[in-house]
Amino acid sequence: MLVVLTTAEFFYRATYEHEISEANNDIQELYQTVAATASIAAFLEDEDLAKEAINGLVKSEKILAASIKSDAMYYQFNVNDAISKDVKPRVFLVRHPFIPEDTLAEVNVYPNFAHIIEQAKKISTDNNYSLYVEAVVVGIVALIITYYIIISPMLRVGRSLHKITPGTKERIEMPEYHSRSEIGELVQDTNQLLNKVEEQFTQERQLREEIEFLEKRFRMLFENAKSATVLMAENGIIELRNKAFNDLVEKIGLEIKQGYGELLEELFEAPTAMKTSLSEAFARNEFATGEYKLKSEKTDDATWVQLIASPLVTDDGERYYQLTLNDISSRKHELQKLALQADFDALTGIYNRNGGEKLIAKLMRKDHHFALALIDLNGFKAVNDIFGHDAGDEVLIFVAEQLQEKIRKNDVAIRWGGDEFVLLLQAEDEVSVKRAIEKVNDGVKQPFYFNGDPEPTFISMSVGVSFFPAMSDDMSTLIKLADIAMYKAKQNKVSAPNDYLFFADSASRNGSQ
Amino acid sequence: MTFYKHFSPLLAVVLALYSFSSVAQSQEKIVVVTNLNNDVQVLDKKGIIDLFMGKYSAFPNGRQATPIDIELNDELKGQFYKSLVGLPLARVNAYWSRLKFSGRVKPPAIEQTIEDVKQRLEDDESALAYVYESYVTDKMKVVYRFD
Repeated sequence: MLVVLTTAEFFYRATYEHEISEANNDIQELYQTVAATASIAAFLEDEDLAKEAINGLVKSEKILAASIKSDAMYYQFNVNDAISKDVKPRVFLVRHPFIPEDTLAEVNVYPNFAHIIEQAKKISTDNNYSLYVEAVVVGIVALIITYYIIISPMLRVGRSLHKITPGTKERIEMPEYHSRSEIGELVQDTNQLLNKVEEQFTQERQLREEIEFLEKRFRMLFENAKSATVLMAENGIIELRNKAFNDLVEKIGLEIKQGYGELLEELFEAPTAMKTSLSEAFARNEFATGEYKLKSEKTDDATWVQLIASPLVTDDGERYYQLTLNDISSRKHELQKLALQADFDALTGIYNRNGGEKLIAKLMRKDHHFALALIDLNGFKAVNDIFGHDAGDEVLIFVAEQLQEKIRKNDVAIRWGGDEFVLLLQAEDEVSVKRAIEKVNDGVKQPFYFNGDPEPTFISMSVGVSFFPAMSDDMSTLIKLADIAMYKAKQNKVSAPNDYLFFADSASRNGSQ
Repeated sequence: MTFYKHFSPLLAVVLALYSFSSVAQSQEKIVVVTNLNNDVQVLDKKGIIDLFMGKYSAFPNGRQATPIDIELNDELKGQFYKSLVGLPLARVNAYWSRLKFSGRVKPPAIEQTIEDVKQRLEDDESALAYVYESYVTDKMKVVYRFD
């Protein structure tokens, strides 16, 4: 449009200049047509002819006014108007019709500039209209051509590209007559790109399927694992947990929540010990493992876990912990049970002979000084015989309770077998042993009532004592010495029931050897 | 140069012959005459034009002038107007045709033959006519000669 406007302006200027010079020529020509008349009029001094000539001139629209002037006459038309409009006249000399070298008069012709300009404008307007029309026509034609040759194929290509799902077999159709054009190249390049995309999509899909397959397996593995496993951020928030973990949490009576404190501390009965041990391992950059007891509301049924904790650092430098808690409660119980069976007496719950011997060996190994008191019950056989084994068992439980109750914290009671008990007393002199044994004896000789029997039953005991390491550092010798002393005491059970405690002496030991 | 020198006398002769023949061919000289009794002794070419082409209808002395055209001798008439205004007869006729309507300007009076012109010059004191120089009689007065 700017081009059209500029061109239009240029056209107007050119037309105006042209019209001016044309008008000058026209005026010249117009004058020529009346020149003869004017000449004759001047020659004959004929006003009518002069009028005819001047009127002939001003008849033309291009001439605003005209006048003829000679010595003998003057005629004008509209000259005042022309002068008021400040129009400069063109002057033509009127020659003698028969003596051309003589000048008879002068004709002034005033061009009608307003008309000329109007004419120029009209012409240039017409020109401009045709220019505009031409521009519009050319524009439309160019548009149509462009549309059919470029835009339409581009649109079709664009539409088909829009419809194409990348990664499929679909391709853009080559527009007609464009196989060698830039559009054709674009289509070819795009199709090549689509080929590559499809290739990559296929590869990626395969990869994704493989990953999905693996992930499914891993998930299955993780979800169905019997071990409670969590992936935990450093701040204690659990990122990933499996069903077994939730089951474990529910088992110990806690609610399922986002986190359980640093390293799951809220779950453990002694979190400080656990954390200390774990951080030591982490400091050495190792994974930590240990067996810990979990908190439990139901005290009778303790839950033990084997905790395996490994710190993980992601590629982004974030720190995580993988914690696996294997419920080992049942194993722990089994072990405890086994240990109890091995070292404790099933009836009374105190150490049995096996446990006692282990204990004695341990004390000896650590060189703890102690007194070994061997106790034998008097009257037990009678109870067993009269009231039966159950009553005997009750007596044994009673005695064991008395022993446990009356001895000091560091002393140990052992059921050595049958109605024989052993006390390991932390004492090195006879006086303190005596004091301890008397306490025990006071408990044991209390009247004992069986169920439904109004008559009390009395149990007494005989005791032989040997000292470690004063008398021997050998267990069987110690036992034997105590046994000999106890046997001596046993002699007094009827005659002097209060003299029930005998100390072994080195002499008798020596004598026995 | 030598060529030119040889030719220049010849060229001069040819040119001389040509000019002679053309003078010979331009027939006789024309003169403008009046009635013997006319006061006017001499006229200039411009004055003759003014009278024959209708500007004035009187001699400079104020007496009426009647220019005479010859109808049946186009050669004389043509030569006269050619010499006077430098125009062929057709143009002169056209000039008069244009002025006929105004009625204010009169064309010259018409006589048929050169004899008629002679007669008119004798009879009419205002007459003014053109004749070959050889036709001039003592009853006419020559007021202008064409060179």
